[in-house]
Amino acid sequence: MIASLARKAFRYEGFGYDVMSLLLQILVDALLLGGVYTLMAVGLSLAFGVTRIINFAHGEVLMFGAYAAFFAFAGLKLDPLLSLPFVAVLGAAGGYLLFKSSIERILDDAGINQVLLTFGIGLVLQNVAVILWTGDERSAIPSYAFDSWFLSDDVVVAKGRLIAFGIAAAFMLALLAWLRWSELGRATRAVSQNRAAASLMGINVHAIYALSFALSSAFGAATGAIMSFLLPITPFMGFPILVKAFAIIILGGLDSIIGTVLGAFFLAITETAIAYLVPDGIGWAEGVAFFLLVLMLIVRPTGILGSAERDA
Amino acid sequence: MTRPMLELQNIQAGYDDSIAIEDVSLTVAEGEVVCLLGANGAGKTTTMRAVTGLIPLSKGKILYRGADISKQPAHERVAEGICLSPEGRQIFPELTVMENLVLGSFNARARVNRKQSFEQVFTLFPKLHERRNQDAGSMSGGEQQMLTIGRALMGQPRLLALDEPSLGLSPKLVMTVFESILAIAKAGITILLVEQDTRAALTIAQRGYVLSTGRVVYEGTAADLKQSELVQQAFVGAKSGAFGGRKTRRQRLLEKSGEGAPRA
Amino acid sequence: MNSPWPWICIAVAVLLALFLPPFLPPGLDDFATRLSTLVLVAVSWNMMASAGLISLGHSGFWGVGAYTAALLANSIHLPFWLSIVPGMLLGAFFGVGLAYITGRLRGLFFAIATLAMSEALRVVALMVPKLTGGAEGVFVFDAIRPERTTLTSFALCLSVATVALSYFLAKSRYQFAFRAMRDGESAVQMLGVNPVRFRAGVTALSGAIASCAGVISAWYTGYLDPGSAFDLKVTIAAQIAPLFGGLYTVAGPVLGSAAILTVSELTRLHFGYSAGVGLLAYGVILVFGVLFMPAGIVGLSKRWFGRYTRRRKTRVSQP
Repeated sequence: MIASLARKAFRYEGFGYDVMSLLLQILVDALLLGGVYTLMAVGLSLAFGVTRIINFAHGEVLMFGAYAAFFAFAGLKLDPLLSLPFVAVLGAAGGYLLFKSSIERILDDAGINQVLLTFGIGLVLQNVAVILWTGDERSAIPSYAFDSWFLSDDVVVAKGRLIAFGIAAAFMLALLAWLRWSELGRATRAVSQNRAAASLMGINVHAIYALSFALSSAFGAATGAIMSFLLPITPFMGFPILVKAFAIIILGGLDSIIGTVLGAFFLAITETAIAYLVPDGIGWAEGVAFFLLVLMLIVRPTGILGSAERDA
Repeated sequence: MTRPMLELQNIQAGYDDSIAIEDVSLTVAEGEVVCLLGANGAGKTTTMRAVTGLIPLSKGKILYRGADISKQPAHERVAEGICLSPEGRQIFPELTVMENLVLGSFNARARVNRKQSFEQVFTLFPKLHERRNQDAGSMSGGEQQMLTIGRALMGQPRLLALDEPSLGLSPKLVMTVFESILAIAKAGITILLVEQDTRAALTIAQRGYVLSTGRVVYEGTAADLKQSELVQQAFVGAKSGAFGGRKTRRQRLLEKSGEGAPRA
Repeated sequence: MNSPWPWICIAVAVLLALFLPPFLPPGLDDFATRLSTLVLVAVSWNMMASAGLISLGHSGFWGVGAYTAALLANSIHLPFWLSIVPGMLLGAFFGVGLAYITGRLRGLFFAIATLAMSEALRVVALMVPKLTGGAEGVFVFDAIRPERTTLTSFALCLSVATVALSYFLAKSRYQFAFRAMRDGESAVQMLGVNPVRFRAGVTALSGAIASCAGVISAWYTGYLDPGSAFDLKVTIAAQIAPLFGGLYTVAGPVLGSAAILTVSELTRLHFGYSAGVGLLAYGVILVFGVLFMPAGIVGLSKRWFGRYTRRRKTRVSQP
């Protein structure tokens, strides 16, 4: 992602181009990237906030979403944006099934079981994809994938990225509105704050868990569909994305969706800045998430906005 | 004779592998106010949890309006009209007072009458109306307790279960809260009340049970209980809470052995 | 407690380790080496897990050990049996670093931190070609590479030593500290053990052991690159083996490693090297293990034998 854009920026060689344009470009890129990152991390954050389970298979859900969009594009000539709602619904169904069949059983188990189970599920999903579709890279390339608009002489806005940002924003606003104003959304917030009290309100806590998981997977799959025209699609794309999502939710605080948004943009800005400003920055940018994560854990583990549980 | 609203038949329940309550039986008739008394750890909260479905029964049955609800999950019992104001004020701290109350009427039956429920609750607890847009977590203990009770009321209960509504409240507040409970009872709602503050409980209850180490050790009318030695000796005694001063264990032991005058 | 049996077992195992490999056919010899490295990371992972620390980044330690061995072999021609030392030291160093970073945070944070650490190390290996050969990888200096069978013996001895260590740890007074840490660090303080230092000790020791496995693999394969040295498969295998064999037990990692490796071989025989099948099998085992066999092989066998011994006991002890 960053690579192609960085290459475009450095088309202007030498010290000729001005700093303002560069900064503006970084800002634009970071903004657009941040949108996608938000969508990517919010699914994980939602599931965790409600069920207290980190879904280590989230990256694979995203990967399947990308493949679904790709096959819709390659086979049915369906634009990824059009197939997006279907992919999201498929993701929701998949997440629900996954939850009901396995994750529900270990809700009260020790943390190690949760980690191992979701990790194992991710492993299974990844290798099913490898067997079905091989490790070759695919890409959905609709017309807008490579188009760009020129904000000014030196600042480029990738059309595909902008559309991705728009979708991400729409999803996020819908989620926040749902959480704030709908009965189920309110119930979901209640469950994440006090599940015993929630059941005393007549809320079926397990049903809310399943719902949250389904929503989380829907968001994951939708992100995958968006990424189908931004990134090369392979069965292995899920893992680095998962780690970045972790970095984001730890940065922003495990308990807060708004925090996730902030974390996503923070990571996006840092990555983009490094990609443009540091020599060989593109390679290092991939490691930024991990370094930030480690830094955050040392300095402020509860994240910018969070209140995670600590050991006594 | 009409069937009781709530009937516990020899129930046994506990946590993990241990038994917290054993062979507990009690009945609550419609419109009654029944209290459950006992010292810390006697099993009162466990009983409440069993009634509301938060913990399963290992033995015995619970009948509610004639039907066996022993296996019914908690959220379904709420829909049937059993609403609990839990011990320790389990509010939703990051939601506003309004949101907390709205959640109280989440169940389908109550949702229809939401507006009326609001009126009832705000009439009973005007403070809540004042603070309706405030985050529940930022309120004082007393206000949170009112919120917890109000929230339970929003569920349109047929049976209102109150677990230690006086916990952590100043004597004045306790009196206010109990006056409100009395008003609720007068409106015809059946009430099952768990209280450590025996005196306060007996001012509004008609009947009561005493629990000790997980078993029912005494049952009687409010008058019986007030005079019972058991109640006076073992638990928060004759002077307690809003209605007098507490005696320390040492004081009570001294009194018993006759060695010293009780200190005020 | 003072029974000679453990020592006899260890002695026998060491003797086998030293003298058996030359008689093994190459396939089995290869299996033995891979089993040893797997046992090492499995015991290491199990040790951390026994203290409530779930590691998702064991491949980080492996990579550290591998690169240490390879780079020292190439630069100062450090022989294989000596390269264990710096390997272990660096592994312990990163282990302590991990403990420091995560402070006293819960299992989940620890897991994510280990992931971050191993990925960060991989990126470093990738991005500093002058030191590590970058994406192209690095070959281990051929002239000082040991005989295949020597290396196998060495690896087997190391794994025997490690299992012995975990056995004695499990019998020592630290067993309670492990248990307590699983439940929550506050419990550890009540035992008079400093939780911070205990955690650092556990991660350091585990890290050192896991790095040994990396050292051996470097000498064994003769070549490494960031992708293979920090391969996620290491972490996965390190988890599955103890889970399948019996989490928190001494025999579990060993039994589990043998089982896992056998499964891996069988799938390879059946499906060839077709991509993904081996790992798919691992994934399925992991999922089923957690859902249906959380106590692993050891747990199952305890249940069966337990039933048998209990019956005998009641008959004997009836008044």
